[in-house]
Amino acid sequence: MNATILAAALSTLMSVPQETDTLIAVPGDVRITVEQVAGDVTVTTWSQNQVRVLADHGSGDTIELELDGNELSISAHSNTGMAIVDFELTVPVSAALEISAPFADVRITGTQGNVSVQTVEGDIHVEGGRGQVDLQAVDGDVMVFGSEATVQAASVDGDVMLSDVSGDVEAQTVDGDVILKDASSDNVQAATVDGDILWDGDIRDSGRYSFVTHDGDIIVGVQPGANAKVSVASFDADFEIDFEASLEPGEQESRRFSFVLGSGSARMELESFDGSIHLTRRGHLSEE
Amino acid sequence: MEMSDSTDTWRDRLSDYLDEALEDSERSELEEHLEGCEECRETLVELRQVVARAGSLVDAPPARDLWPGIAYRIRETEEGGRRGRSFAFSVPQLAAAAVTLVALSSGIAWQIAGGFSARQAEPAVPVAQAPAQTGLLLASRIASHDYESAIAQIEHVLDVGRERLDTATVRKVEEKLALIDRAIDEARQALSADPSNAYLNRYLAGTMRRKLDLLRRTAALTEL
Repeated sequence: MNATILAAALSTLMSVPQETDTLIAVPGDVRITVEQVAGDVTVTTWSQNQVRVLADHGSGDTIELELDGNELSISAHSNTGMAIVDFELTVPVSAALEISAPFADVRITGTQGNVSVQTVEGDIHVEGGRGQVDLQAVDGDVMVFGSEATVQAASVDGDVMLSDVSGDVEAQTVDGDVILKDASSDNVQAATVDGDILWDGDIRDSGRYSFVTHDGDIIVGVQPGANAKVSVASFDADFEIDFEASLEPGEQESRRFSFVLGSGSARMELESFDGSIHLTRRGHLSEE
Repeated sequence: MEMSDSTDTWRDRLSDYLDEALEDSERSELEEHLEGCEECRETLVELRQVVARAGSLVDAPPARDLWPGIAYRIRETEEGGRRGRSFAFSVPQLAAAAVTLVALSSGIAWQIAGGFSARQAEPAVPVAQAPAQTGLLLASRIASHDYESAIAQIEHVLDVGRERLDTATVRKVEEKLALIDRAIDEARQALSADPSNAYLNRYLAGTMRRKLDLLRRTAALTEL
């Protein structure tokens, strides 16, 4: 099936704000790609095998929907210059989403499919997600909440914040903080160049955790009963730990040392070139 | 925990150990040392990862514009009469080698080559056509050169695609690249004072990789 719908093709000399509302039937496993230049993209889900596209745009803009098999592409075009469109999409809960929106804030709620979002200037906010969630921004924050997916979240100038995530995580930014709260992931890699890394999650047995910053602090909340071998390395960082751990005398002087909590089942690597590394108990992080 | 002199001695022999180039007695001594030296065990794991990555290169098409240099080095090596699977990484080389292999194996160079295809006279040559032993040899010999080469190529792609990016975005990326460059410089300075520091070697590799990754992502944005 290949159907193209020109939802709005009015061409007038004046650009008058206009709303387009389109409903299209799709397979339950639909893969939706959205390409637009500027505006915001908001996605919510429902249990129907339909996609609703609500678009606020100028009268010189065209919203194009093309369904080919289980691939639905949604794009905005303008005959008067750059299309600036605010999209509100309602999609099947299991739909896979691929959104390229250079100048847009993107907000996705309730999806259980794969998600891929790229922005240049704009924040990305995702609630939910299973499978793979891949988010990239240049100038913007990247946020993920309540996701079971494997998450790759990256920004250049912005914070990366993940809360209530349980899948593997790879989070990085250049100039910003990486914050992981209420996480229960087995594998976590977090890195920033100029920013802090905060972990306030469960260190799971056999898990792997790597936190690396150049010029920032690493703050780790450790739950009671955690089993981990913690390796600390730095060039010129301070180290502080708020609870009992069996560090051998003099080890801290070398700025490279390790110690074991409980059975040492998990592996945690903490590396700050020139910041501080602070381990405290979970629940004591609010002041940080 | 500072490394002992014996650690330094044995770590320098790890690549020979992986290459099965040690005498039996040396191999036994090294294995005994490994049992009690976590530092060397970690370095050995990293070396093995480089080996594994090098092995995976056979399935990846090379960047066309890198190939003449690679072919030249292969010829140079063969003409020099070197045969057999042999390599020698010092630990400081590991950083550049790892980064280069990550760059090559992740397809960065190939993606970039697509941007150059219209200007390239030479046909693409699959790596599979290269002598089988070249992976590690190349890694050790061209690591630094190709890291710089990969950086230069992506920067060129960015220059070409710059007009497709917002000037504020370009400025922001350049600022952040400068931030990473400063981190790389600081790591290099620290490493020059403590060349055998495994953390600094690993850290430098990671930071160089981050720069490559940022450049790659930014280059991809020019296609948005």
